[in-house]
Parts: sequence; C-alpha cells; structure tokens
Amino acid sequence: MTESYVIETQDLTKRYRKFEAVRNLNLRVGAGRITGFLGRNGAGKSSTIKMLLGISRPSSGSGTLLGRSIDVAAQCCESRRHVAYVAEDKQAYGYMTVAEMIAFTRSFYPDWNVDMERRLLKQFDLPIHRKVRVLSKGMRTKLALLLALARRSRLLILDEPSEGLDPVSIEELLQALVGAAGEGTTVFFSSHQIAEVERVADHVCIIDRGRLVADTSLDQIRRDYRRITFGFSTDPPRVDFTGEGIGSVRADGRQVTVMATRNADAIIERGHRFGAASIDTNPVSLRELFLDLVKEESRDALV
Amino acid sequence: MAFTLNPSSGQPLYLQLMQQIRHAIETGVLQSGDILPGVRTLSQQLVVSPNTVVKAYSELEHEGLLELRHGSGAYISSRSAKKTRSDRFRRAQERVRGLVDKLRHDGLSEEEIQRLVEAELFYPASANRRS
Amino acid sequence: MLWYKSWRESRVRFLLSISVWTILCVSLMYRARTGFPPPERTDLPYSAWVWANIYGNMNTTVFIILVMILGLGGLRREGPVGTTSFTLSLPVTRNRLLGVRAAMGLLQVILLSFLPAMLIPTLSPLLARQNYPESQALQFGLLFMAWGAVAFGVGFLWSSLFAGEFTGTALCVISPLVYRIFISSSSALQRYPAFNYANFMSGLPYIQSPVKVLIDRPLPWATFLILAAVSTSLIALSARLTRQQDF
Repeated sequence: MTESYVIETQDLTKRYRKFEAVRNLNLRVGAGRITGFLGRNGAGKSSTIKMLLGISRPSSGSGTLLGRSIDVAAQCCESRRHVAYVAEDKQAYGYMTVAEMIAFTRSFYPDWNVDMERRLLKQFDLPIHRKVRVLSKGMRTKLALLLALARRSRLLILDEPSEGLDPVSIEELLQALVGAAGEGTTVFFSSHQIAEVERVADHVCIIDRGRLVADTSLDQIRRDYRRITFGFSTDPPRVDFTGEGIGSVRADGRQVTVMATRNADAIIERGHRFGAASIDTNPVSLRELFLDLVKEESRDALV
Repeated sequence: MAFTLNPSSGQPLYLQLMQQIRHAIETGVLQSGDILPGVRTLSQQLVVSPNTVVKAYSELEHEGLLELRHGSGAYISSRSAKKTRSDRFRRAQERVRGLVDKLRHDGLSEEEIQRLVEAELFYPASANRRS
Repeated sequence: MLWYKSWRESRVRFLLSISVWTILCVSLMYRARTGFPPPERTDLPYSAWVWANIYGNMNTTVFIILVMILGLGGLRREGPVGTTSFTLSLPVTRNRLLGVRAAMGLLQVILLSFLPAMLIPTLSPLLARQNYPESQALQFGLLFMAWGAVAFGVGFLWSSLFAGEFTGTALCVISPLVYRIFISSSSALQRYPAFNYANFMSGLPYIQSPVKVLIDRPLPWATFLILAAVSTSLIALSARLTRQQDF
C-alpha cells in the first residue's frame, strides 16, 4: 500500500464566472502506480490538472504536488522540476526544429535521460531537423511524448494523451506509459476512454461534474464489485438495501439491481432473507461502473 | 511466451497472469530453469501495469513456483516441477480412486481389477491407436 | 534556454527594426553626397542636416512604434498557438519568464537606440564626406533609450492584456499618435518637455544653438531616472497581471 501521495487536493474548486468546473475535489494519487483520471468531456479533468501544475489558479481550496503547495509559485515551480507533463494541446514551439525543441526542454530538467531520448527518437522516427510547425498531428504528439518520457521523472501527468491518435499510436503510447511506470515513475493520466484505463491503470479516480465520484483500485473492482440482480415475486418488493458496500440500488418492476462495492455475499444473503425468487450475480466492468455512477449523478440532478 | 489478460472479466489481472503461468508450468510449456521476461519487458509486452506483473511474480515466488533472482529475472523454480508433479500425482490418485470405486460397483473383484490394469500396461490397446 | 526562446520569438521584429533604422541612417548619409548642402541653404551645417532627417522628424515616432512592438509577445500570445501549457509547466516562475523576455527586449532597445551612434559618426566620412561628432550621437542615443524603454514598457503591458497579434500591433501604432495628440492639447503638460517624446528625443530642450543643432546643455539625469522608473513600473505591472491570470 502506498502511503505517500504525489498529488493531494483539499476541497479544490475552480469557478469560471458562475460555472463550477471543479467542486470541492479531494483527490489523492498514490506513488508508485498508474492512476487513471476518468471522466466525460467537460467533467473537470483538464481544469484539475492545470491547477495542479500552476497553469491556472484555484478559486478556493488547496492542493499539493509532490508534497509542495500548488498555490505558492516558488514551491510549485520546484515540484515541476520532477514532473513530466503532456498537455492536451501537445504543442511545441512552431519555429523550433525537433532537435531544438529537445535541446530546449532538456536544459530545464536534470533528470533527462539521454539513452531514452535516443531510443524514443528512433522508435518514433521523428525528423530532427524539421520545424515543429510543419509536423503532422501524430508526429507532434510523439514529440510531446518524447519530451516527457525522455526523463526519469518522479511523476508523469498526461492530459488526454490518446486524443486524436490512431490505434497503433495508442498502443505505443500505452506501452510507453507502462514503460515509464516500470522505471519507477508514478503515472497520472486523464482520459475519457474507458478501455485504456481498464488495461493499464492500477487505480482509477472518476470525476463527474467537477466532483470525485469514485476512487478505487481496479483489482478491487474486479474482485469485490458485483452487480446483483434480485427478482421478486411480490410487486413492489419490500426490501431495504442500505448500508456497507452498497454502491447503488435500482428498482425496475419486480427486479432490484444492487451495485455492490464489497460484501457481495452478505448482500446476497440479505436478498435471500427478503425472499428473492431469483438472484443473478455478475462482475462489474469499469464501463458499467462508470456509466452507473455518471447516470446516478444525472438522476440526482433531476430530482 | 504469450499471455492473454482480460481487463473486463471479474478477475484481477495479476490472478489471471498467475493462473496462466501455473498452467504453462503444469502442462510443461514452461519447465524448471526456463526464464520469464523481466517485469518491465513483460508489462510492456502485455501492455499492463508493471504492478500486475510484480504481484503475480511475487505470489508465485511465495508458492514456490518461481525464483526471482535480482537483476537476472524470474526463473521457473526446480521445485516447481516437483510441486506440479505432486499436484499431478494427487489428481491421478483421485482419478484412480474414482475408477476403482466404479469398477467395484460394477461387480468386479479386486483381483480382476488388478489383472485389467496390468494387462493394459503390458499390452496397451490404445498403443495401436497412437502409432 | 529561456534567453534563446525570447530571442527566437523577437528576432524578426528586432531585425526588421534594425533594418529600417539602418536604411534610414545610410540613405541619409548617401543622399548627403549629392543633396547636401541643399541649394537653398548652402551654409547648413552637417549636424543640422543629420538632425533634421533622423532626430527631429517623424522618425522618432517610427522608433517609438517599433520599440513598442518589440514589447509584444509573451504568454498571452502563446495562447492561440497552444503552447501556453507547455511553457507554464516548465520549472520556472512566471516572473522569470517575463523577466527574461523584458531583459532581452530592453537590450534590443538599447542596441536600437544607439544604432545611429554606431553608424553615423563612423560612416559619415566615407559616405557623406562629412564629419559628425561621436559624443553628440551618443547623447541622442541616450535620449532615445530613455523614452524607448518607456515605449517598450507600454508594449509589454499591452502584451499581458491582449492575445491577438493584430490587436497588439494596432495598439502599438495608434497609442503613440493618440498620446501625442493628448500631450499637444494639454497646455499644462507642455511645460514639461520630457512628456512629449518627440520633443524629448529630438533633443530640442537641450539645444542652445539653433544653427548647428547640437546638444550643448547638460542632459537631464533626473528625467532619465524617472523614465527608467516608469518603464520598470510598466513591466512590473505587466508581471503582476500575468501572475494572476489563468491560462
């Protein structure tokens, strides 16, 4: 279990006029693992990441990046020395060549890894003397990745890294992420692609409408989360499913579906006692969990 | 050595990996002295978190199937052969027990059962099928 | 390598300004071969000729506009291009980013201010077959530098308020002219020659002899300090604004 957090926020809030992009976010990202930051478009992922890096300022609340406050410019600056970042834009200075961009970036980070730089240049097949402004989108993304990965950073933050990439490039990207994690870098990446997160992440934080709605390890989802569907012969079923390990409860006619986050057996037992005629248990995929959580939020909003 | 991990099934990935490695050892695809890829290599090959590989390898080391030698990788332990042999032996024992019970139930005497088994071993009818 | 970045981003504007100014100086000296002294005033001193064509005419406004444009650029400008996140994620404070850009710009202003001083005294004997005193050129250079720094500060301030290339440039062209109109219309401000940049840079308040048009009064060191303070304040204000902005 990880005890140190590379990212920690306390009631972090970001307001744009009346719109709250991030609401009282209490995010904790543990060291030494890959954490996926999952959410729909506009859920507040980019806003959160920008606040962590000091690119934008919180409206209220606080946070730390590698143990240093994100509000204090000098501290945040020091943390950034050990953080590698791939922005959503994945842009580099158009007037510089690939080689110049690498030399420029390299000069700021003592943890630069020249071997990795050479390896990635070869793997990505980047034309080093070509100007950035004439590179294709795919090439620019690869350059942005190289600038972040050719280092032995403590933390790697990526904002929607697979956006606009073809499947082969996505595969290369995920391999690179996993490679970085293998070197000891903590990886934190935001995405709205559930499949990617499910494949490589150890841990997932789900954000919806600016709030954290889930913070769990993927092993826990696979091992403990269960979707249990109870069928009752009485209508409506007189059941009360509240308490430990209940994620959500949905009633549909004579069926009650419980999303259990743990103690599935105890919940099944309770269903028996309530006289369930049929009980169907299934594991929960990340997609199902995500949709369940996000739909629940929208239900609450309607109420 | 190819493994297939399914991220959406209800089973943690490291358990899936462990099962597949165990299966490979049992069937003899992986034998004692063989070496599995390092954590970084395997995680990149499978495109999964290195923690998954680390957990699987360390659990298997606890079970005695793998030997993790720092710096050189994960070796299939020599004890694993014995362990799987003993597993196989145990399962064979259960099968034999089941067969003997069934033959007794059909009314054969112990002598008859023994003669049948010996005959099969000396002149295996299935040998013709195999060759 | 922030200096390198600042250089690359201001290179074109700087070299353009150098070219414009060099062309003005060289053409002035070249024209002196045939056009000087002008037939209607054969007793005109060379220094007066130089003054009329470089320090005393609309060229001072051209200088101010060019220097103001040098102050543009920076983080807001990177917004539309999409590199702001990258630049701000570098392990440098916003103060340092701005500081380097300001320092690079001011160095360029100094070079530009003293360009006539480098060209005219050296090349006049060759091109115009005349002599021009180095010390004079240097003094005019100081006057140009003093107000140039202020103009640069104004441009720098515009850069932290406006992201568009067109908006910024338009402002740089319009604001000196608007300022001049404002100054000329206010009789109170006319008492202080330093307020009117054209007047100040032309050196007229420090010229006693109208014939040779050479600076012979002591230069206003107090005013230099005040102008330097104004320039610094503008840059500091720009830094403060940038520190508080979201990108």
